Amino acid sequence: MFASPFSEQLIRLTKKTAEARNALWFGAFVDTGVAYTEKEQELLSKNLALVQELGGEIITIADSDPVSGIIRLAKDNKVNLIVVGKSRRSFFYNFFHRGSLVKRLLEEAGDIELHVVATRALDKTDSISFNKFEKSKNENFLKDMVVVSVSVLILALIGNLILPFVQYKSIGLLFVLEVAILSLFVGRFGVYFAAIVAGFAWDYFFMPPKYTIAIKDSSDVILLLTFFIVAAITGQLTYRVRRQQILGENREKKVSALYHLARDLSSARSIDKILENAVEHIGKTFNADVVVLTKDSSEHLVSYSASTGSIDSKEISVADWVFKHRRPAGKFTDTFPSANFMYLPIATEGKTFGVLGLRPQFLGHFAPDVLSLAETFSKQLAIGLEREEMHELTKKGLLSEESERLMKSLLNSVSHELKTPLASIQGASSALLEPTLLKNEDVIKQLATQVHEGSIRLTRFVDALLNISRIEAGSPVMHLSSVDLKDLIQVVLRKLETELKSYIVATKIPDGMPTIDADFHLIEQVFTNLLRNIADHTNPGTKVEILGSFDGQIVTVVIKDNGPGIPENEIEHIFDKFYRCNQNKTGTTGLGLAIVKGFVESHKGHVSVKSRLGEGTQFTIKLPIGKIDE
Amino acid sequence: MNEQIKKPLILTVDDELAIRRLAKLTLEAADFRSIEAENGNDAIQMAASYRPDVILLDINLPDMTGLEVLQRLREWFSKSILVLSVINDEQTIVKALDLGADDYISKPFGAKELMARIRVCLRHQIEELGAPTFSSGDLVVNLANREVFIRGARIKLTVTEYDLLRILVQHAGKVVTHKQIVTGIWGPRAPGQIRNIRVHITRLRQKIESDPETPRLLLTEPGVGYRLEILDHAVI
Repeated sequence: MFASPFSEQLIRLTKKTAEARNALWFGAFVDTGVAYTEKEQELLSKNLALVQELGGEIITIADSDPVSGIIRLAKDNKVNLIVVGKSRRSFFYNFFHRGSLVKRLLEEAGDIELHVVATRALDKTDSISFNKFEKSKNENFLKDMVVVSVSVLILALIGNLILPFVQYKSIGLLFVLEVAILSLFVGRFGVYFAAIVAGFAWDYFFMPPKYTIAIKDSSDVILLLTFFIVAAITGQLTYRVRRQQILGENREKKVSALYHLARDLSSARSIDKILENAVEHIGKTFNADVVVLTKDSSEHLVSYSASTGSIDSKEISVADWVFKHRRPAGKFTDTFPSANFMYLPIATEGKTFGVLGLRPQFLGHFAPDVLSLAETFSKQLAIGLEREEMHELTKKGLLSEESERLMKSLLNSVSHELKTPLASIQGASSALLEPTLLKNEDVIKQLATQVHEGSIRLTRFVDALLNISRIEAGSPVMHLSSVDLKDLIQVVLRKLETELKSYIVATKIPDGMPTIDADFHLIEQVFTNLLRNIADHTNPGTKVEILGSFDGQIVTVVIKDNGPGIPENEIEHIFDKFYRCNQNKTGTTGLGLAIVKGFVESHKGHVSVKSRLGEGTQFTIKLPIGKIDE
Repeated sequence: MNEQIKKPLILTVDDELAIRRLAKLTLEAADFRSIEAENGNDAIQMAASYRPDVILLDINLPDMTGLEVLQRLREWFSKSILVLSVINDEQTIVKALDLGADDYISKPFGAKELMARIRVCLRHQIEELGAPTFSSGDLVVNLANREVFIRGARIKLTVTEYDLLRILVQHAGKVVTHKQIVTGIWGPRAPGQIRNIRVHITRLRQKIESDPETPRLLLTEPGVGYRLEILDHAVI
């Protein structure tokens, strides 16, 4: 079918016939590489849409010759019947196209039935639209004329030089050759022009009488005529071959673009990358502005950042339609054809990921071809996105396995840490219920102490667990205020008075020390844990220094002790959860430093440790200077 | 004439039996009288009937919030109310103090701490601490003459520093909120100057503490305010 207003007749008739025979029917379209006006394109898409609407399938094929295209299509799809419209074409058209379409179809159809439908006579304007100079994008008649004229003149000159050695008749052959070569470079009418000009040049410059058009020898007339015919035919054939080749090249380019897209998609490792690649490829292949729309968290379609086009809310409603109905819409289609972009769903069988929008930068782009290729691209894209989604799910699956494992080990640690002090409390308190024991005041005191200590240890562990779980759940909820570290450390030292009783603690924090924006209790916990660690892991009498300093951006607190130090192989693990140096140390949770790290980091700070065996350990905490003004 | 000094009566209000029992045992062991209430309504009734000297009031009660009970009590009860709070819940503590509570204790609390706080409340009641001079550890403050001595030696304080010290002395042993300090020094409409207070506290500590880095007198109650401790004997 063509972009003709009469195709509709044809389409409806074909459907009726197919229904009568209980057969499938197709609307066939041959892409001869020729460009169509916007009006013609509209007609064409309308016709294509009609075909789909009436239940037919659309098949397309690229071929510079419509007839061979149709025949190929028919043979490939095992068509039994071709319905074609008969139109009145100009004589010359038929002549140069080896007879009318219909006639040729008849000849080449072979076994296939052919119904010719007499469509209403085309009026003058319509036929002109068929016969008008079919200019393809690359044909420029003026340029061709110049090229032809110049080359013919050159050949004439050369001919003159070799004339003494060869007959003038042989020169004619040279001209034929020239026309054949020129047809590789010029357009359709350039070829005809070349034939004529060459012929006249031959006649004028070489045929006796020389330098006149007149021909003396009657046999020369036949020669000249034959020359014209041969030149024209040769030229035509070469032209056609070249056209076919260009079409083939275009096809190949598109396929290779698709291949490249598929390849890049398969190696892209993230959704962002995939979309970026897609936009780039599609834009290049179709010479188009590309827009990719995906759903954001509020279920609205939004344009992805790498898109090269921009769309307004009207366009987005078209895109929304496409997303919902999973069918193309927009420019070049039958739904919302006035839109600026053509929209395709990015979807696989199972899920719709988004919408792809295309706006070719040149208007002459051909609808059905673009549509089917673009659909293929968007399918590729959808596959790529689906694959990424699968990937994420797998990762999540692996993560949940890992966390299950951690859970188990955590539960083991926790239950041990809870049961031990509870056992001690239970034992001591049940002993206190023994009437016989109550006589001895000393014993009572001891037992009571045991209960007391056990419960303190329990409390500490439960607090540590709570802290760790706050860190694990993401950023712990922080009530930020302006915290004076000097103050805070004083509070901590007071709380740990008993533990640090036999230690030599010196605090040196300069007066101008800026405050930090922090949650008081979290930072309090940080220093409590660090200092308690010292009490737990070093001997009484150890010197402890707490030194504060600051510069423009950061506040630093260093806690130094001259205790036994931490062995090198353990240093990198001390911030791990449940890690304990000398694993048997009871009363320590193994969580203290993990909590320190977690809390410091949630304040956007940094904690580090340096230690030498036998010399001591130094913890350095850096925190950003506060901005809150209270 | 021997005046029968009645043992102080303490009302403990808490929905947890364990807390009430612990309070009762501790108080009676310290030779105080103790009564208990389980919820807000009972508390108000018992306060009206028995007129305790100190009420220990849990912030989290089943029927009315502790703060509501506090407000109701403060409409007529002028004696000490100590709020029993959840640890790290400074916001509620400050609210309670603003509503008229005298002090707070965080649960879990030790018996010693409880008794110390109750004793401070009682001392304020009998105006022992309303005297013109106050002493704690090395610090002696003569409120009448506005003179401050450390280990007998007179020290100079700026006006703000003295005002700050004065407010702390007036509440000696009890916590003073930032708001109370600001209002006391600069008046009720002054914007919150917590940062300033901090600076003054530091300066004050340097003047009155034997080791400013490890304060014994002027303590920080994080998130709430400050407390001037009543030390019983001079610290070496």
